[in-house]
Amino acid sequence: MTKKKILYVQTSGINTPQRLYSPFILAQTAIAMDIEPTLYFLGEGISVVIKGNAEKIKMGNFPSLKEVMEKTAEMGIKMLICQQSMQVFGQDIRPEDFVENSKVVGAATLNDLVLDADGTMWF
Amino acid sequence: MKEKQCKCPYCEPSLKDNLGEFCTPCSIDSKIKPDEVLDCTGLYCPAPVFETRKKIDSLKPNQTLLMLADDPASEEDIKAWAKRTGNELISIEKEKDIFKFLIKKLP
Repeated sequence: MTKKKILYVQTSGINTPQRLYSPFILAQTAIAMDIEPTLYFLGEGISVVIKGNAEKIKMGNFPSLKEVMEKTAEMGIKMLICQQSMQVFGQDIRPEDFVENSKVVGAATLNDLVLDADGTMWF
Repeated sequence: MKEKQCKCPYCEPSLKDNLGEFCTPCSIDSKIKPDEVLDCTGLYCPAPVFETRKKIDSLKPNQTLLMLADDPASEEDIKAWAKRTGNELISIEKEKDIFKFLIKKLP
């Protein structure tokens, strides 16, 4: 049986920390359910995967976003980043500025992932 | 109390401490004696799902797991988890605020 796939798209950035945990937690839970998760960071969402930012975010009793992200990477969950979002911010962000275990991809990849997934969630 | 007279292996004192005030395996109304017991009381979503998955992975096919949880989300979550992973949710019982899930690992 081929695994079902869920694509989680993060468009919110570190200025809205309350919106950042859900995709990671859901993706980790998907693994426990034999579902293949993929995380995609788009627009302001890319601020989440710039090195040094996740460390600053901690909500309630949850572990820091950095810990959640590391656990996500350990579980082998793909973290994809929209390259053009880097241009939009006008910042000189380079692929090496992103957290380890992430990969820079493009718009065609996102379109393809959406059609390929059995469901998508946008945050 | 009645449970103190019970001689089943699950009434071994250290395990019973984990189960709180219930001698759950003895009181469960089922002929199936679970092969393993997992106490997820005090844990909240998504931890019971993660812990259940880990425990199920350590079982052999067709073995059974009794999982206890007091997270109200666990009732629907474990149903969804079982449906997606193909493990069989034999029964759900609720005693006070604790759900008791009897799960059979898929063959």
